[in-house]
Amino acid sequence: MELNDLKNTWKNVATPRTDDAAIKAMLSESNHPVLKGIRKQVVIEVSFWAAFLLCYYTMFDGDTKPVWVNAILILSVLLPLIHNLMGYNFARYLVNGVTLKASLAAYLSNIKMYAAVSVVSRSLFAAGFIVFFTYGLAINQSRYYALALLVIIFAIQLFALNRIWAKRISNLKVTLNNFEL
Amino acid sequence: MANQEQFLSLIKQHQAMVHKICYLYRDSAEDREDLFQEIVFQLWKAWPTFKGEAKATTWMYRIGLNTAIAVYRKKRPEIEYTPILPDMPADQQNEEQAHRQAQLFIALKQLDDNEKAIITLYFEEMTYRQIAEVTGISESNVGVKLNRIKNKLQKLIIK
Repeated sequence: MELNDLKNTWKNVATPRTDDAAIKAMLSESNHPVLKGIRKQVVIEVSFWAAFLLCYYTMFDGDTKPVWVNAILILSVLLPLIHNLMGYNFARYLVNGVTLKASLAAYLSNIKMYAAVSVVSRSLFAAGFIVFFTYGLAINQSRYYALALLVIIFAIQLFALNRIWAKRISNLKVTLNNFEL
Repeated sequence: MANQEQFLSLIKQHQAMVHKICYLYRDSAEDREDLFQEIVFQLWKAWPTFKGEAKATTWMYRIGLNTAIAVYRKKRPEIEYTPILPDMPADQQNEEQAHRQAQLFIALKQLDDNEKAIITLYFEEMTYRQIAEVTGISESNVGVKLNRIKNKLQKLIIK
């Protein structure tokens, strides 16, 4: 097949028709699958952590711990929520540049920042949690093992998260670099 | 509201183009539907910035291709390509046409994301200059890349 044949074949590709009502519905943020997912996650997380913060003070001896330990816990809970809200805004505007290359470069830079916030907020969440629950605790052997297990679980999660972001960033970098090769 | 009507009429007129981008960058029907929605959504978000200096289709291609490349792709099992394009009523395509289209898409899907973007613009009769304006690479680089893509496609289709 010659290139002109390919061009003609491309032009004659039959495509489905999406009706007007469906297209109109696609303009609304409330129907956007990714944004809908993030909103749902934020509502669930906010409800869970609000309930947690309401009762942790008495249930988990927050009243017996210094203010700074309590502040660390609250901050470590708030960071992932802020991260989710950032993600919501990030997913709303993917295109930001006058050319494909410029826009992908801007997107890559944003995604790097978002990935860093994602990993840092998850790390601080894990650290804050461990600091709060171990503060003033007499560490015996079984607690030491439990703590070690917790640290390992958090470390595995962080490693996996880091890998996911690294792969995504690397794919985008390859695409962007290929424009110049 | 008039603004929205104008936008909807533009999409209605050029939706085939968005569907073709979806075919090219996604393998499953579900992923194509998601991408179609995402492109329409991103076009709508970018609509206030469209001043009409460029052709509407050029603007749509830039946003559409950008979205297709940038949006995260869920990991799915390998797809086996069939000789008939999916989502298409069989009676709309004669056998010969279906075969050609399947051959074309099997070859196109083996290109890199940036090559897919450049050949799409070429197929839509854009000049090297227009392709350079949409992609952000130099005209000479467009020429070099197109030659490479043409050779690659010819090898893939003859194979």
